[in-house]
Amino acid sequence: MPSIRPVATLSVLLVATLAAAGCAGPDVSSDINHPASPANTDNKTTKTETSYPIVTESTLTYWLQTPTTLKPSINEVPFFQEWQQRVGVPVSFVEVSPTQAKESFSVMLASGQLPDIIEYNWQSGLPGGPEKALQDGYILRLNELIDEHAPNLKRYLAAHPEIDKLVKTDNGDYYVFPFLKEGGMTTQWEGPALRKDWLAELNLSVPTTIDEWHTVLTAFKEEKNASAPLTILNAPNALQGFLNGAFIGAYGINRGFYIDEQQVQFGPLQPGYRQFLETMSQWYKEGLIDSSFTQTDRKAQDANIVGGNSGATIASGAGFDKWTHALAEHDSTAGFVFAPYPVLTPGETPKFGQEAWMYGAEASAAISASTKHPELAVQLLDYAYSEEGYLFFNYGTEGLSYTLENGEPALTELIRNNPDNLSYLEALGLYTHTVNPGPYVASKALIGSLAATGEDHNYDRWKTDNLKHVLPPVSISAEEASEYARIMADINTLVDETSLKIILGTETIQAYDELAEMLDVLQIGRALEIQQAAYDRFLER
Amino acid sequence: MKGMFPAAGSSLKARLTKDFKRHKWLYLMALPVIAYYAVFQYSPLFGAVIAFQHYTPMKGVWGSDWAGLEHFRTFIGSYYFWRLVRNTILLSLYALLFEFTAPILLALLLHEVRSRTMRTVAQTIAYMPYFVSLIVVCGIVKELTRSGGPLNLVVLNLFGGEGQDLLQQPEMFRGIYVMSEIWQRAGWEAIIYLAALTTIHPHQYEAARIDGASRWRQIRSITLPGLLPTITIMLILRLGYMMDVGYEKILLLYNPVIYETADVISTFVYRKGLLDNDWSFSSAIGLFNSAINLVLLVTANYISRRINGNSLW
Repeated sequence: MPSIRPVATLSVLLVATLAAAGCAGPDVSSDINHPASPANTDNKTTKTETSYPIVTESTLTYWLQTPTTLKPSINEVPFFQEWQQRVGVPVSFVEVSPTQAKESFSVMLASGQLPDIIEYNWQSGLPGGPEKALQDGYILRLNELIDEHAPNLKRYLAAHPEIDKLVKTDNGDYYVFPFLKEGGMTTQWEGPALRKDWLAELNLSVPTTIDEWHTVLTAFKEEKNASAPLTILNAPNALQGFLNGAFIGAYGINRGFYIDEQQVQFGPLQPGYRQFLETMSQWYKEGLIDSSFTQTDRKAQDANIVGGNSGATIASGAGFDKWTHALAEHDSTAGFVFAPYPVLTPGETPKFGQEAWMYGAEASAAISASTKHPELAVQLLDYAYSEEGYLFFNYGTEGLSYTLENGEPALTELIRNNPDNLSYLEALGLYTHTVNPGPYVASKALIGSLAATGEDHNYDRWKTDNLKHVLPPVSISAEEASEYARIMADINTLVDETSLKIILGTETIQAYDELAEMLDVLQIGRALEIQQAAYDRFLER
Repeated sequence: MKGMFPAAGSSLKARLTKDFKRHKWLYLMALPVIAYYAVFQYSPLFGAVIAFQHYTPMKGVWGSDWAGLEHFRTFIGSYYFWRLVRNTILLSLYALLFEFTAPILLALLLHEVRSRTMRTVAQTIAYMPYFVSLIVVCGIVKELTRSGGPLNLVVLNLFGGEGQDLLQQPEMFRGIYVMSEIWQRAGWEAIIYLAALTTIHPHQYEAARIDGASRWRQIRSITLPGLLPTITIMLILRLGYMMDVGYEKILLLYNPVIYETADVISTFVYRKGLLDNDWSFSSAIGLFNSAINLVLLVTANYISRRINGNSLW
């Protein structure tokens, strides 16, 4: 079992949850990423408006991952108390630790005893995704319930057809109250960055190509005595740091499935993957990559950066803000500068990077098929998509955590300068839902205002063509789900193992050729076929 | 004692009734134990039926479709089958060779310590690690073996190399695993041998000394034969869960780079069942593992009974 490691601060939590969002699923056509506004009120099509608070005797059970470690229980978090009050439905929460969510979720499903509402990634969280979950009878198809009892969500989806397309299965079934994003920093928040003061001292400019990166990292090692010039997060997955396309994307490929001209491809099958492994292996040999990089979790990454062992990494903007503060305690000149995702030849647009879909399926609330109160559950969840709910989930309670100034919400001193010495992210975690994903629409304006932006922290530098190439949240059909899951489990083990061995130098690059052959034996062809069919169905939605 | 064993002529039912009446309090006392075994040990066995199904919790054990032996065939034909079996068996064998013998040696050493205080102190220190939580133990192991960690430096100085994290090197894993097992368990497991040693009568040693036997000779001719029945029983018990190598520890220590030596059947079951939700498949693998365990146990018991008359049944 993965070790139980309490999440240190909420800023870390933000990074973690946003990063989790990143793996969930990126985009196909960039027009999907137009900034969206909260529910439009001029499009009233549903007649059954719910008046909150609802008066009810029933209690709903709600399964979710612990949103904050600042309070011993979610019942003591002001946001969750206020939510129940506003909606008028008492909720009994079942909290699980984020590090154990996967096991807990599996055990819960296997027990057959499901809470009324389950907040999880129903897309990638279980083999077969939503179609299988509906078919196996875990969760309810929500189409009729949304029509009748969820006017706010219905209105939002009607106003945003491009999101509506994402939150349905191929059959047109709605299965969750989704976690939605409005673009901007809610969908793009991660990329490479380097120590600005080191670059300045060594008279180097921000690297853009793989070769320039090599020069910079070598200089960090030799001139700044950095023991691990480039540190990369590698938990929970062995190649986590590369999964969003940093470095590997320079070779025109990604670690998993992606799209090239409407064709689904698998990165490790491409010649680019061999080049990527060769380069990383060389870097590792030269001591440019953290020598314990397969064991680098968040704690180790923090230690590397704050301890001055590393001058470059890939992380979320919030992560760099945090490290800047930590470094500033000893060295006021220390700071980071964001670098574009590296490419091979100067001037190229990076093909892959972290940019998420506006719906990535994480932390979205499904209603269990065994619930006795489906309407009530729908009404509880629909509140978040109303105008009032949008303000409440993002900014909290008016007069407490925000005030309206000229019609625009502004965070109060309670958040910005907390009397109990909480950081603003920690305070937001108590009074709003902002730092955690969940069934609501995350405000682009709010998230954008939280990060330190500027010349060095320029999020636009992280722009890539990612959304043209990364698979959208497609759904594998229920019939093919377990076959696909089994094929990919073996393949992923083999790819991770071989890749790491080559990078670490345990095996030579020749092992890649065997890998490519073995992938055929393990039926990668069949997996590609299944993904292609899923993608084609997605395009027809 | 008359009446304890009823006359052989009466029927089984009559004998049982009579026995029950006579010892009803004893039967009552046994009831919780029987209930415990029925509820927690035997009734879960029924769940193994999902290994032959395409189990879906919402359809339940009665409603799920049957798969026959499909899952077993898939497992045996799978790419990782031989590696898993090999790793499981090798890791168990190493554990058996070193971790099983360590407490015996420790008990012998402690037994030879003359000073009572010294012996108590040594014994207490030796079994202390047993009470340290596994997560903490694995944290310690990771710290010791990481690049720049104390154990890593020892290896670096003795054997050379690049000082890479030891848990990134497949050939190191078995050694690290077995050593941490010994550190954790040897002291605790030595207790049972120490208890057995106290049953050897001091007169035997006295007589041996008078005959001029050296300390070494005494160990060989008195202590070891005295321990042998205990060792045999412990060995048989041990073989019964031989294939269940301590998977929790492996899960906490391993990573894909060392799957080659560290991935065993039970960790595979964990990944399939709890991470991939493939419950039926993982039950089938678990059942396969248990079947091997059963065969090992029965064989060991048979051999032991043939060789020295000690056996579980």
